[in-house]
Amino acid sequence: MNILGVSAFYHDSAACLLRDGQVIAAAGEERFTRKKHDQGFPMNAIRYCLSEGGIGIADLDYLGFYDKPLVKFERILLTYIGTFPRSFRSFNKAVPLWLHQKLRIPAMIRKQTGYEGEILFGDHHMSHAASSFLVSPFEEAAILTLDGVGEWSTATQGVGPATTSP
Amino acid sequence: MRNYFSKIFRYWMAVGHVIGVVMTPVHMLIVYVFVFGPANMGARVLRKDLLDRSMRDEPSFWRTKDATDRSVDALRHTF
Repeated sequence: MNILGVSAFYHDSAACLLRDGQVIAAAGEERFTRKKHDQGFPMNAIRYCLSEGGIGIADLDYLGFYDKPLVKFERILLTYIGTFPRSFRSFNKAVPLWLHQKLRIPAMIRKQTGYEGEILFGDHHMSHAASSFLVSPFEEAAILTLDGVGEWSTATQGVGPATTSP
Repeated sequence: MRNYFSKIFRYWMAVGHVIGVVMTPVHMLIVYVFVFGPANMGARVLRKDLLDRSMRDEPSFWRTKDATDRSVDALRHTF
């Protein structure tokens, strides 16, 4: 099973190809564009991952994105309501970007890559936890994630259970 | 002829960009004041803690997450 993970439109856009639970290739877009912390769509990183895996975009079983955009947008809108009128500067900067780009992530992914299969959206902190735990040497682990932002959570704790299959 | 039109196109796009830079904040301000302002007042009147900032009598800020559906189905949604 081939799964391509994509991170984009926030900071340090990147892509990663998994095959049957093993990391085949991973790269940050900045390595190709020479633009530090490049937040654009990581087309170069995706091309690199697919080429390392010797597959095309149509060979993917799933494409995964690292958070749930609509839940994050809900949090952002409620934050602007809750902090009115102090938040106009941020509102003016963020909302056009959301309307133009971030609310259309599935369509943008399909348009940029030509991918026609299923796109999966993981919880932001679950994505952080998975990216540490699933490549760690531990069978089982306590997991703590601390981040400036997510959908709603900024810190989560949980348990990575022992598992025999990827 | 093609050069001539591409020049017009470039100028037109530049004018469009300037109009966007000026008008976007105006539209955003209108939406902010007339949608988010009343919503803020409504939340205050109804004493809604939209951002879950009050501690009430709870001993901790930690929230127990509902048993998340970890099936592929749950991942299919952007919400």
